[in-house]
Amino acid sequence: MQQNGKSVETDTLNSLVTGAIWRAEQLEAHGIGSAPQAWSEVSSLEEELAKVISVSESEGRIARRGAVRAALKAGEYARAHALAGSYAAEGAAPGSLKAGLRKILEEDARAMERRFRYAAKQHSLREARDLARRFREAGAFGLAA
Amino acid sequence: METVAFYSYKGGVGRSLLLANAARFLATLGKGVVALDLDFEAPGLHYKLGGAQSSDLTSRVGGAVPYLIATAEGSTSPPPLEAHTISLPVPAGGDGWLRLMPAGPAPHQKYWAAFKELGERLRLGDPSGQGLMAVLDLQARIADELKPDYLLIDARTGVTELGGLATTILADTVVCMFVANQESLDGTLTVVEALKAAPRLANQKPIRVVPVLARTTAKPPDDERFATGVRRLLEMGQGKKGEGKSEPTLFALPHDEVLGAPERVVGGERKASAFSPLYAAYLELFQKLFPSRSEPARQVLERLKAVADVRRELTSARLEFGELFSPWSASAIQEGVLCKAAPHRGKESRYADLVCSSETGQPLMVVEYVADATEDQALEFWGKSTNVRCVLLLASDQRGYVKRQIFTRGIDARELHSSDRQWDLPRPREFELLRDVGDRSVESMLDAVRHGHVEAVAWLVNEWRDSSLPVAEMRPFHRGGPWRPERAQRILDGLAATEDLRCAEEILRRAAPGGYYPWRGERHFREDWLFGEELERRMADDLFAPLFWRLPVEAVLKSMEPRHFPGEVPSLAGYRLLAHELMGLPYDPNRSAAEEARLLAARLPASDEHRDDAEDERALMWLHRSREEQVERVRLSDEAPPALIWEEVFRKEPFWRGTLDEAREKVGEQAKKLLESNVSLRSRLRARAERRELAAQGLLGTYEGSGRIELYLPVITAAAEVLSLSPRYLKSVVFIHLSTWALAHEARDLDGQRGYGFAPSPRTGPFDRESPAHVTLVQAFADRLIRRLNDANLQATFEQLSKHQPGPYSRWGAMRKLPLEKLRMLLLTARASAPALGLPSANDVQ
Repeated sequence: MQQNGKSVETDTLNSLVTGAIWRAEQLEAHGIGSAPQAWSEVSSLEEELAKVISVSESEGRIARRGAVRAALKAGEYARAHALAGSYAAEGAAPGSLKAGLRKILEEDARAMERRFRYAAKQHSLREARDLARRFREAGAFGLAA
Repeated sequence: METVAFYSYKGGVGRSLLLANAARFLATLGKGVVALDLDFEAPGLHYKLGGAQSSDLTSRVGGAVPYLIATAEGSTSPPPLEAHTISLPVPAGGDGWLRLMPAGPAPHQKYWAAFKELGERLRLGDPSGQGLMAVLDLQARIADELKPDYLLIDARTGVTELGGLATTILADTVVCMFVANQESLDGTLTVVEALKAAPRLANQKPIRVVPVLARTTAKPPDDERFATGVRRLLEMGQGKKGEGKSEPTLFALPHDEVLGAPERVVGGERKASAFSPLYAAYLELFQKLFPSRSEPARQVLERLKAVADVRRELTSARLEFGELFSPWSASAIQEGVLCKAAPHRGKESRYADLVCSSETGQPLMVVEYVADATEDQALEFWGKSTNVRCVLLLASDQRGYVKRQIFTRGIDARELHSSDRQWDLPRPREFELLRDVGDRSVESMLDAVRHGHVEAVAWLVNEWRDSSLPVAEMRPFHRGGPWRPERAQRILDGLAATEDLRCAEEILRRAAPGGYYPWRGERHFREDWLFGEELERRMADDLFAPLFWRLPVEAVLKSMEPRHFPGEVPSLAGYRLLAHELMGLPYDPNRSAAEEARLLAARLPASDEHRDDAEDERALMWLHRSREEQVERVRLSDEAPPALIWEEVFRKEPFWRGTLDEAREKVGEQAKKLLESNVSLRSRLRARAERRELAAQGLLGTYEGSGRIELYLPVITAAAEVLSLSPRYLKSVVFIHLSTWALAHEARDLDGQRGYGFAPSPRTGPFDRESPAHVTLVQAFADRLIRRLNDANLQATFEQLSKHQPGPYSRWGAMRKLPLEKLRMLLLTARASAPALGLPSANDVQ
């Protein structure tokens, strides 16, 4: 039953995520502003799938990668990094998953560097992110720290 | 590319104005500059840099806000920068370039709509680093594509994310502006401390902070807290190098009316009118901010200071010499002119800092600041390719001392030559007066007077004073060179030779005692300075008095006319030279008139209760009459003289009897015709000359008992022709003779007696003649006066005339052997009459 229940839930989630991905891709393809929200929904559904499917199963690894990728597409950079960190820390996580997650994040960074190619020639994205964090935490001029 | 952000904790400090001036300055001096307006909440840089075309400019381009909206999330094909920046013109002569990226088309609604959208899309704190990268990408793209030398950022006032990013991350240098109050200083200190502590990107140098105190008309708080804050700012930032070994000081930008109030952008401008205290402070600051342009900034500053100094001098009124040194009008001076060579003199052109032109627009003088060692080139161009008559070259030496060199040439001369004048810049009138404005020598000025330029007179009189007074302390303002009596004499002789009547009048007016100092437009009281009395005495005795006798009589008569101040009778100084110095007689008609008034008052009975007032009034009237007599004592007459009237009447009726008036009535018409007929008159005078009958008294002029002297102009002129003499000097000689006679008669001796013995003959008959002895004495004193004046023309005229005059007129030669004291004794004796000798009068006998 449990297995059946899980199966039912997995099937439902799979069909939901399939539809959500199709929707998000369509929105993105047509340049519609709500695409990030759609990818956020995709990420959430993938995250739910990852919860019910073990990392040892290939579908579970796909869902984990999908959750991180969709979060990045949604512009939820922090969440994506948090998910990637937690998935990589799972005890049964194979090396291939860890490498895959790292690759996704690296690809995202490279994509951003391509979009900001002039800045990227002079500054590393990591530094920019560190500074952004400081901005977030300490405010303008760091005066709120 | 170096990025400089201009920041202020509080608004209204002139931040955008400073940035705009810096941008123009750098572009003018050969640098590529991009000005970026990141003050999104209150954008206005396009107003400062775009001026009147500001709205037109921003309607054609986007700006930083639309650009960042397009690139906030990154883009592999970002919009072209050209669509979001404006190329601005650089002042003439500048060889750099300037582009502006405005914030957007502010203040139009579409800008604010875009600004709102940007706020939603650009989040600098976004953990992906996207927002930060968008701004960094803009800066990097500007550096990569436009390749400017400088990016100048107008950062948002206060504490904002974008302001923080612009100052802590984008900038290499931050100019922190504040005003002189504690609130502004405290806020600035907080921000500067944060700036210094803020993390930087790996390849960035530590941030450089330059605090600047703006709008310094307000007095800074005079307390320790403010001073401590300023010291702390200077510890963290870079200040101005202090004088000597003192600590650095803050850069301070004064508020002024030239740039500050109208918010003018003149950075890099070389025109002197752009110079102001604020601009000078800008240039000083730019030397610090832009070390690579430090030397040009210093040169521009020196150039502007030097040219502005010259311009101020040229347009400032001098306090002396009236119109001679009236300044150049502002409209006569053009600034920053690219002068072309005159036609057929080549095709070159050259930049002149100032061009001074005549009223007709003819360039007369140019002023050029010669930055490098190009003096020879400058001289070559101005000398050979133009017709300017004066070139002033300014050059700074290594110590910053501005050297002036003035080169001039005569009206028709081809070559410019060095002039001794260095600080004394030529004034517009000098170009009319002097053939060569570089030659303001005595001779040159005298030449101007000879050509009727009355303005040169004041200068010459002043030079005479400075040259003749032995001690500088005796001169007003203690000015002038050493004692130069020979020079003073040259000036005196030159002035005395003046023929132009207007100039001669001006000479006597300027030289007159009474202290008329034209530069003050008021009477100068001699008590105003220690040697005033001595100066007046010397002016009267040594300048006015000789000129009174030597200048044309017509001008002398003008000098006798009433002056601005009652009682001012300058001619007395002339008469005193003869009466006091030579004849030994006190001559003071005012005192005599006062005494006569007293005697009169004593004789008349008191008419009312106010006896004192009535007496005073009568005395005043008497005095007034005396002065009128002084003013009217000499007259130039066109009438026929008594000698010719008698001659005419006896030609008509040899045995006619009657008075002079009757004779004048009878033959007046014939005498008039005779005067009008030059040939007849000369013929008569030639005959008289041969008979030695050209008497001064009765023919050339008359002195009458009423105290009046008349000079018969037609007769003197004709006589001058007959004797081949200058009529001008002949008039003076006759005037001297008759004046000597008049003084011998009118001046009182120490007993208060007049010279009754010199009373003129009543001329009731044709054979009335003056006593030969008296004529001889008068001629002897006239001779003494002329010798005292040391005027060769007068002397020659006197001697030549006397050869054609009756015997007593020519005995002056023999009288020269007598010492002056002996001559004076003879005069006293000759003046004596019955009252003088104390003999009883006819009334006493009765």
